[in-house]
Amino acid sequence: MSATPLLQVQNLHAEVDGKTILRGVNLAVDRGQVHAIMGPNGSGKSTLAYILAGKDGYNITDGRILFEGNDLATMDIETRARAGLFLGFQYPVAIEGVTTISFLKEAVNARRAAEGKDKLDAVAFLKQVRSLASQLSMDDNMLKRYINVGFSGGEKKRAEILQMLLLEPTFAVLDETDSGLDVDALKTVAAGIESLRSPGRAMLLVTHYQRLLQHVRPDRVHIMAEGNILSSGGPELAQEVEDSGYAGFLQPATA
Amino acid sequence: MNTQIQNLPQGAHQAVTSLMEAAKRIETGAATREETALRRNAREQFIALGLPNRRWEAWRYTDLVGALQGPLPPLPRTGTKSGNSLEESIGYARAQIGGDPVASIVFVDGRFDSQHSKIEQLPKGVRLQAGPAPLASGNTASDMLGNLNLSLASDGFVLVVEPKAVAQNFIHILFISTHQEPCSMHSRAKVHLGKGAKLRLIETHTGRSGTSCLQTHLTDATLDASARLEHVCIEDNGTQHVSLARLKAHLKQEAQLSCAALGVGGKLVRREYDINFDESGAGAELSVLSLAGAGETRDINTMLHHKVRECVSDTLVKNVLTDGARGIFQGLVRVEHGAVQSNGQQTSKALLLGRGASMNAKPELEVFNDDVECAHGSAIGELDQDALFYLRARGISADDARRLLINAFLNDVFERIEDDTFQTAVRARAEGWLKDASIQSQET
Repeated sequence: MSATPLLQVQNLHAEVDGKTILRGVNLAVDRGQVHAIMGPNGSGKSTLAYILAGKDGYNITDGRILFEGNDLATMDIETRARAGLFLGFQYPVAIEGVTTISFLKEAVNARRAAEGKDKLDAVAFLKQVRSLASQLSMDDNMLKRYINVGFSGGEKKRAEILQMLLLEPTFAVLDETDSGLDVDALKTVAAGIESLRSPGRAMLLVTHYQRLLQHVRPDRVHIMAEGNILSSGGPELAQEVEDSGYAGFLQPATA
Repeated sequence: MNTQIQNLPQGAHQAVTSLMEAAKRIETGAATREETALRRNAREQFIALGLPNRRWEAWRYTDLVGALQGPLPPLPRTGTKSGNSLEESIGYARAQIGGDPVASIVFVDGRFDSQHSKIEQLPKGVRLQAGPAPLASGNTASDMLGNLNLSLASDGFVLVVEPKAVAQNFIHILFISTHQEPCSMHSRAKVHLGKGAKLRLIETHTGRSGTSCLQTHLTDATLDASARLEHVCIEDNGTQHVSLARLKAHLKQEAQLSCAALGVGGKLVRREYDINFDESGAGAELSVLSLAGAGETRDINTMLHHKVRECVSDTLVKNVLTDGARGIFQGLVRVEHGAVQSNGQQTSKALLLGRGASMNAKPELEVFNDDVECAHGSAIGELDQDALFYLRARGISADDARRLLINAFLNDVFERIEDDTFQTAVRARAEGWLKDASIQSQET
C-alpha cells in the first residue's frame, strides 16, 4: 500500500444551483480498499459522486479532492475518466442513435489513446466485450441496441458494471448500483464488482441499504447525513444501520 | 420593370436586371416561335411578380433579395472546359459517390459537358438525351422560380426508362462549378419512368468557388404505375452559391418515390419538393438533412398532395445549425376530399449548436376528409447535457461526444436511404462536415 491514499477528500464544501449540499466532508480511501457511504435521502451522497466525476453545475466552494495526489478541480470530466476514475450512474442516461457497442469502443479507445496505446483490434475487442457480457448474464443483443434505450432497470445497472469492467478504473464510485435489482441480478452485479477488487484499485459504494454490502464486504463504512460524514467504522456500522436506521447517527453521540 | 423590382436594394436590382437582359437575349435568339413565346411569357410573368419578400408565404423566412448581391449573368457557352480544378472536382464528385454508375451526366457551370459525361453504355430500356434544356414540361407553373428558370434555362436532360426496364446500377448527375466571376446557371431535367420501371439517381453539386452564383435547377418526374424512383441529392457548393431547386413529381398507381437530400455547402440552399399523388396506392418518402454554419441558410419547402385514396407520404427533415445559421422548413400535406385512407406524416427536428442559430419550422396539414391518418411534429433543441456528461464520464472528449450525439441525431435520416452506395456517400459527407464544423457547447 502506498503512503498517500488514492483518494483524499479534504474539508469539501460544495453547492448545486447555489444551494449548499456538502459541508466539510473528509474522506481518505487507500488502494486495495472498498469503502461504503450510506445515508438517508438528501444527505449529499450523490452530490459527492457527481462532484468526483466533475458534473457541470456541481461546484466546490471550499476544500479539495486529491486523486493520486492531483487536484481534481484542475481536470475536466474526460480527463478524470481517462486517469482512471469511474462513476457508475444511479440513473444511466439513455442515448438514442448510439449503439452500446460503438459507445464502448469509443470509451475504451479514448482511454487507450490517453495512455499512448493503439486502438484495440475490433475482433479482440468484441470478444472481450462478449465474454464480460456473459459473465454478467447479459444478452449479446444489448450490445447492438442504443445506449440504455429500452433497457430495464437491471439491464442498465449491468451495463454500468460492464463498462466498469472494460475500463478497469483505478477508482470506481458506484452510485446506488444496487437499487432496482432483484436478488439474482444483485448477486451478478456484486460478483462483477468483487472481480475488480485488487491491491492497486479502490472503490466507493454509495448506497441506501446494506444489502449490496452483504455481497461486497467493505473495509470501511461511512454514514453521511446533512452534507457531512457523521460516523465512520468497519462493516459492522452497516449492520447497525440495518438494525436501527439512521436516526441514531443524526444526533452525533456526545463525547 | 415593375415598381417592386425598381425598389429593390442595389445588389438584388442589379441581379434581376442582368438576369432579365439575358432572358431577353435568349428569347430573341430562340430557334422556334413557340420557344420565343414560352420564354417571353415566363420572363414577363417573372417581372410582374418580382422577387419574393416576407409577405409571400412560401418565402416568408428566406431572404432571397438579401442573398443576391450584384449582376449574375449566365456564363457564355465556351465549348468544353478543361483544367486541373475541373478534373479534380469531377474526380472528387465521382469518388465521393463511389460504386459503379451505369452512366454519368456532367454539367460544368450549368452547361452539359459531353466530353466528361459517360453515357455510351446505357442499360437496355433507358434513353437519355442531354444538352438543351427540355422546356415543354410540367414545371411551367406561374411562380417565381418556375418563371425565372423557364426564361433562362439553357441545358438539361431527358431521361426515359421504358416500362418494366430496371437499371441495375445508378445514374450519377454531376453539377460542377468552376466559375471565377459572378454568374448564374439554369438547368432543367425531365425523368419519366414507365410502368414498373426502376431507377436510382444521384445528383451531386460540387463547387469551391468563393464568388457569387445563382443556380436554378428544376426536375420533372413522372412515375407510371408501380414504377420506383430513388433520387438522392448532395448540394455541396461554394460559400457564395445560391441554389434554388425543385423536384416536381407525379405518381401514378402504386408508384414509389423515395427522395433524400443533403444540403451542406452554399450561402442559400433552397429545395422544393412538389409531390402529386395522381392515382391511388402510391407512396413518397422524403428525407432531408440540412447542415449549415455562419451566414448560411437552408430552406426546405415541401408539398405532398394527396389527391386520391390510399397514398402514403412520409417526410423527415433534420437541421444541424451552428453559429448564426438559419434553417427553414415549410411543409404542407394536403389531403383532398376523395383521398380517403391517406397516410401523411411529417417531422422536422433541428439541433441548434451555436449562438444566433435559428430554425423556423412550419409543418401544416390540410385535410378535407375524415378517413385519414396524418400527423406532424416539430422539435428544436440543443444537445442533451446529461448525455454529454455521460459520454465524457467514460473518457470520450467533449468534441467527440458532441459529434457522437449529432451523428446519433442524424442516424435515422441516413438509414432511410435505401441504396447502400448513396447512404454511405451521404453519411461520409455529413460526417466530414461535422469534423470541420465549429460546434460549440451551449454551456455557459
